[in-house]
Amino acid sequence: MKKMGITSHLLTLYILLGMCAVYAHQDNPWKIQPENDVSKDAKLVITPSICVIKEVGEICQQKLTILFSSNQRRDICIYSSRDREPLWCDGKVKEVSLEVSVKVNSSIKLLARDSDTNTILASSTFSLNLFQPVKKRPKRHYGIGIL
Amino acid sequence: MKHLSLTFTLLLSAWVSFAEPAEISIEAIDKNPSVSEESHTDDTKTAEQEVGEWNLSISMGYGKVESIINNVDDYELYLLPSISYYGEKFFLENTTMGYSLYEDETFYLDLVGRLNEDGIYVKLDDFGVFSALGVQPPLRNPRLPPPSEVERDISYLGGLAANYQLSGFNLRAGYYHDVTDVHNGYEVDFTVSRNFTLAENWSLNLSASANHKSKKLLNYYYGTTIGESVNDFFRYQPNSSGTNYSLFISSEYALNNNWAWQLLFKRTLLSEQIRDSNIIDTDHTDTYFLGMKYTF
Repeated sequence: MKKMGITSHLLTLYILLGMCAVYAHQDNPWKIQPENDVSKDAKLVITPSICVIKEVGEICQQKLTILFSSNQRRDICIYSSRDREPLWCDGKVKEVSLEVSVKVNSSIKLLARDSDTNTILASSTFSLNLFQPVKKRPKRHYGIGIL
Repeated sequence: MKHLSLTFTLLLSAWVSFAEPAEISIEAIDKNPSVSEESHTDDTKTAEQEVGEWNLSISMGYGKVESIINNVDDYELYLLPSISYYGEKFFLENTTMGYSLYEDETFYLDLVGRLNEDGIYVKLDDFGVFSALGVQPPLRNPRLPPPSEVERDISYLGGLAANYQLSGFNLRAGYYHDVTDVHNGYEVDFTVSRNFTLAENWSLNLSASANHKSKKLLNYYYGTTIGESVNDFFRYQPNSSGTNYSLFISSEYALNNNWAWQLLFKRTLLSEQIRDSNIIDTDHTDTYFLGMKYTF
């Protein structure tokens, strides 16, 4: 077998690195989208957006209202970021209010996607916050000896 | 009929534009749940400090510590640093440190180590402007000859302090003994203080205290040596313990989270046993400071 010269090695390395770079630039449909990928003309509002828990693992069970609004009619689906199946879909929607019952022990992110293009129109997070009271002690008010 | 179909069309379009609420449920129970941590602070209690947090501040302005020793210059203050730290049990507040044996919302019992102020008055000259410049301070009473140098050591006291909060007043009683083997004396003090909130950003603290000093302590700091007296006959040795009484006023007016105006004033009425000493030329001493405080 003919041995490869140093030029061939460098060329192979260059091609491999180039392929990696090209692959890395491809869109991953489940990759968390940066803020500027989200359409500015659509909004997704979760009310309430926070559930306060006393300890990690505690389940938060409550009803939320999700309000999706857009400045034009769209075919949309609402997803939980952790599921591939949509929670709800409809066509030609400009504004919709959904009642959602949640039973979660972790924060969840909801996405509104355009069902035609699969682009994220808006997103919002229902977050579980751990209550941590700050421990304080009464100050003794000792001065610097003479003051 | 035409109107009816128009109404129907409008109703239908309204229904499409604003769909009826739909019922959805999400159930997600994770083995390793991700939650945010939310810290809750109560800003109304300014007389408290967060555990584990250092509190550093420096005040710039003008103040004075009046000397009580004959012909020793007053100490002028331009900078007043302050430091405090509260751990789970330990605390440090300026020159005082302590360890809490018991603490609840209204009562706390501390082992306390603190600087004795009598030693500071004697050493005041060492920190003064004239000493820094290496010149003799102006005589407070030029008719008296300047005494030979009054040499005393600073002492550190250790003891027990009990604090009790009652109807908005903070009562403190403590016993502190010399732990530096300087005079082997002790102090017993009792303090009543109260915080007032004059406005949202303006606080006032008033405090009154009685500080009883043992005969050994008074003898060491205010008794005179042969060299400090005209002759042995005029040597002064206090024949009993004595009590100083103090009034302390502290006020802060916050301009923002870092900057505040600060006023401190303390008047101490000296005990008869101190006043009678021939190295003392006053019956009281005032200490004050007015300036801007910057908290880091």
